[in-house]
Amino acid sequence: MDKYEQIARTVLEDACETDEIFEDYDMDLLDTGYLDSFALLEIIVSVEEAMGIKVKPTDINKEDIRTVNNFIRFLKKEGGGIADKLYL
Amino acid sequence: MWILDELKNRMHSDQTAMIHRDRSITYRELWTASEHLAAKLEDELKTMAPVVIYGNKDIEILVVMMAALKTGRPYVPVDVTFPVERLQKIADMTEAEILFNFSETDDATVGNGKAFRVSGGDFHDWLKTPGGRSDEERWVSGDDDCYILFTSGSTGEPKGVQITKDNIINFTENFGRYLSVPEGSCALNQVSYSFDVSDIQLYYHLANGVSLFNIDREMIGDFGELFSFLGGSGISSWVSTPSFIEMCAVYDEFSRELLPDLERIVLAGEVLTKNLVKTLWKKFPGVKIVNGYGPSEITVLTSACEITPEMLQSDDALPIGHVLEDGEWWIESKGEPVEEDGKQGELIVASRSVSPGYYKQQDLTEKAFGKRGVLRYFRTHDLVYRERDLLYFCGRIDFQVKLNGYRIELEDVEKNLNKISCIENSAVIPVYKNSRVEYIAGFVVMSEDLGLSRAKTNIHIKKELKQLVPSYMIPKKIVVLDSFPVNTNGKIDRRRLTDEYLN
Repeated sequence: MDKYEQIARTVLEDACETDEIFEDYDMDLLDTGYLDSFALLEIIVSVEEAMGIKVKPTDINKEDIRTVNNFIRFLKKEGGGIADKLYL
Repeated sequence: MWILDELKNRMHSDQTAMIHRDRSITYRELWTASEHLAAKLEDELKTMAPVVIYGNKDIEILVVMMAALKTGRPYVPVDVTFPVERLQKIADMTEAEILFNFSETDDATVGNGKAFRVSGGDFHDWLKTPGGRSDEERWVSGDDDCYILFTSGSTGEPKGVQITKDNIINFTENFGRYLSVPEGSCALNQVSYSFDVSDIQLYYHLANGVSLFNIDREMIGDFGELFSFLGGSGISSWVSTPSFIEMCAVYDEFSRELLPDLERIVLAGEVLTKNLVKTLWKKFPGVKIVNGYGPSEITVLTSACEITPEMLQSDDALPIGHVLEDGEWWIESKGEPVEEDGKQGELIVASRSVSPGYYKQQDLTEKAFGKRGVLRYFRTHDLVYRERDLLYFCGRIDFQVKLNGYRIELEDVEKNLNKISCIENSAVIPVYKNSRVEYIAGFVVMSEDLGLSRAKTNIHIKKELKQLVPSYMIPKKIVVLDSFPVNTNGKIDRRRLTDEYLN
């Protein structure tokens, strides 16, 4: 498991209050009610802390947290170039 | 101050009344459209049943609301977060003759063979009625209902809070000074119409010549889009729940630069924390922050106060303010009035702002309301204490909670979970963080094994529940148990469930 997946799992398990979401990395977390707009802000704060970066409102939207895979992709995009600074 | 009179005074004004995305309507256009629609409603409708409106923030909704009032009928605003089944239940309960559908759900599904007429397309056709005029004699009068807000009921069925013209006028008279911004300025209109805080925008701001800037549900899904709309809004007044502004405040971009004209922030619907006030004062130094409190049964606000720096320093939580001055209020503990400062008890309020009761639910009304001389009083079920003139909120004495400002009866969620075929029994428990409800958790005992994984089982349950209750009432976390732990009273041991599963 690479660092992005690790961070994704930690942040999402926290936001969804459960690990059952990892049964399927392509499960729609929004339609199934695990996440909503309020969860998005919690996730942003966690990502900022975990990756030492600032997230702008234009950087992230609902699609980026729709599935675990989407979120991992998002983290890779945001974190690109600062892999050494990643910490949990 | 009464909205219809104010709108009439402004009927020739080309000032903007409401903006939604790239559309807007002036006071003149609003007047004309509501006149036409009122005339058409008088022609078409055979009963005085309430006019149901299903939608979010479309400008048309405002036109329908005003038109209904002009025909002496109340409107029933149902936000799109309500599933069609609950909407239909509300239409049945109100014996609605017509339902205006401004949602994404098609008319056929919304109507689904029920007695009421669903008007999706009629609306625009009806507006074309030339020269249509309302009859001022027919406009709602003092004790007529203006709107009926259906709110979560502990029986599992929604409860309709009736609010009259006199109620609304009393609210504007008592709280105007906490809400005012200059005429000609602009106010945020984000709160859903199913939530009476939105009446601040409708019955106070709009009546005072303050344009409304609509934020709809779609915009909240994408903060980049939300902020670009906010940036162009020029709003001087922000009215919302603490949760919503807190969501925006996460971003550095939410700042004086984005909202240079912002003078006043009014927050209501849930507990306001000191941390949020500090954050907001950092971003908007000098902005007035008002904390408002009050159940829908007492027309929008029961108490309010402007937050001061001293309040941040004190040991107490932030106060909910001074109770409205008309009428009487008192604190009761174990049936006895509480005279001293600092002692907790239930807040009971007698005022002209108190609703006549729950729509066609005499028994529920009798349990919660009463008479005090010529005034009605309402038992808020809120625990408060008084300290030198200001009131402080402590909690509820029942199973009602606020989640992101939404009012939820936990038993409403439980009774609807129990309607699901695979569920035998349920218990819904709120999880708190910093004195606010962070989410609600549903514990269920199944009546059959679905043979699915944990996630798939929970998704199935949530999907079934989504057909029955508004989306904000769906528990974020579902835990399937073989059986419930029981306490010494033979009741489900919620404390134990909280300790074992929710920490």
